[in-house]
Amino acid sequence: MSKVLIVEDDRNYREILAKVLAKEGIEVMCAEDGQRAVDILLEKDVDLIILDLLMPNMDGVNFYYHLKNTIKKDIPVVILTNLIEAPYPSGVKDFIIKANVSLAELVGKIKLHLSQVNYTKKS
Amino acid sequence: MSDYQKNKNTSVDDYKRHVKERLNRLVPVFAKSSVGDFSENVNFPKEEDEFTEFYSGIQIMLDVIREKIADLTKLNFELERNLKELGIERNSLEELKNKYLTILQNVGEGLVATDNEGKILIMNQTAENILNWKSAEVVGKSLIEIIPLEDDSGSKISPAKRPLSLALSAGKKFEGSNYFYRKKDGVKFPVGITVAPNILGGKIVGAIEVFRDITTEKEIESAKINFLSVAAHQLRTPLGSMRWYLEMALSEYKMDGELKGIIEQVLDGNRRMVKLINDFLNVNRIDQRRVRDNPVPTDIIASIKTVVERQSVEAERKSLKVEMVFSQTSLPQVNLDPDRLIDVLTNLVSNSIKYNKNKGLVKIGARLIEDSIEIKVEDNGIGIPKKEQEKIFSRFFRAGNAVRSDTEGSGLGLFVVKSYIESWGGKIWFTSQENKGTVFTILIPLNPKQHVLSQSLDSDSFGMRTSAI
Repeated sequence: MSKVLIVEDDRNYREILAKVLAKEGIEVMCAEDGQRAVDILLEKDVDLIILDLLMPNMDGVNFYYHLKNTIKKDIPVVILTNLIEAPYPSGVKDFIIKANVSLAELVGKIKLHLSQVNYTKKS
Repeated sequence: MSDYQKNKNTSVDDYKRHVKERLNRLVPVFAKSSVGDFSENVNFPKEEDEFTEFYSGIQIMLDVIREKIADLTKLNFELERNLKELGIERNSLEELKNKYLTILQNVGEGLVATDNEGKILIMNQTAENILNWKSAEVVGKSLIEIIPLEDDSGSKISPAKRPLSLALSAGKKFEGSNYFYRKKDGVKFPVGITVAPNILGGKIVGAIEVFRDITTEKEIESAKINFLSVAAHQLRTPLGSMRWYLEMALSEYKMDGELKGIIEQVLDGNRRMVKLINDFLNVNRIDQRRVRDNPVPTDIIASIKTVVERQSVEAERKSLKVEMVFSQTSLPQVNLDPDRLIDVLTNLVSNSIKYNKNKGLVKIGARLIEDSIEIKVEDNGIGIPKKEQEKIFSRFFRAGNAVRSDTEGSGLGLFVVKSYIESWGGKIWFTSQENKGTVFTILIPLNPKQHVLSQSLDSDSFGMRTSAI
């Protein structure tokens, strides 16, 4: 079963994403900011990270830095944000704007990225 | 037999006495010379004899010695004078060095001097304070290895692309302010960096880097530019979750047709609000010259076909006839951003459809005229009233009859369209008659000029999305 970590400060988005991904048979973990996400990843592994940009405590960009340099795990990251003019790290797998994408499209993209992860795992 | 003996015909004792006397004459000279006093001259006897040459030799030697002593004395005097001057110079150099070191240490910016391999030679107090490194900890180490540098997007700058490397290799000054340094504890801060190579005798012997923490400046800057971006983000946040809740409701729950219709209406309203925010943001970005522009050779006919395809459902809904007329099967490609072209065409075509009556006609044509491509979008719809025609390209303006026929539009479309076209060096104009129809004509030069809507960014590993209209 694929494992996804959702890093998102807005409770509504966390709820919707968790619900809709669980329906697809994906195991979901949630973190409400970058710091919590770091804490989780120090102990556990996931197949994909869905990352919001604007969060208190530690924002998305700073979290990404820590993922690469502190946690040092090579987990693919998909940015999911409403901040259209934000700078984001160039190593991410995808950049999705929440308000511009339907739920069905979003789930499709996440499943696609997960399938690529599983493919590389197998090979 | 000696001359003396020949002349005087005396005994050996007399000769012995003579020699002794002649040698004794030199005693004063030797006595004084032996203690370094060369002031005594040889006491020449009145008569010349076999000792005369000997005496002359000694006198000459005395003269030479005296000369040499005089030279040496002079030299010594000069040397002492020089040493004294050097002493003074050294003191003043020392003073100068200290003065400069003090200035260096206390200057308000971080200063690091390296050798020509980028190894740190000195780091001033300010740099220590900013970076949390003590200079003793970093001297001799590679600056690039010790202090990580990143761009706006958080990606590490490769060693070859760091300002220090560039300055050392090119022998030129480099500056930039789209950088972030990481302190010893890993905390990052925005930094403005200037690096100048140190050139001595035509060779690059090292470099001097001066840097500043520009957090405050960046905050002010981002407060100015991004206020609307953040505002747009704040508006999008509830709209986004609202949209998804509604979509979930529609897909997860069985509901009767009436309820479904109501929910779909709410979803539609949500979609329009998102579009409105995107339009507002686009206008703002055009105003501030921040539109991302990626010109590539673009096939205009293909773009037109794409736009018509996407609008075909809407056109069918109103039973409109959509025609495409091209003067030739393929037109020369034009260097511009295809997304921008699609935005322009979408706007015009959707207007033709929107402001049309049922069973009307929409015609799109493209042809080559000299060194430009002309695109016409024609309809026989409601047209634009004469007294409102001059305001049609201005922001937020919508003609009265447009508002009456469809309350949806934001009035931003044509403003954006005109801005894009003009950024390509092109022109747009129209003719229209109320209730008869409208023709929009665009002229795009085959070689669009420099795109004034391009964004200027220092970093090239920086990624950014543009909104979809």
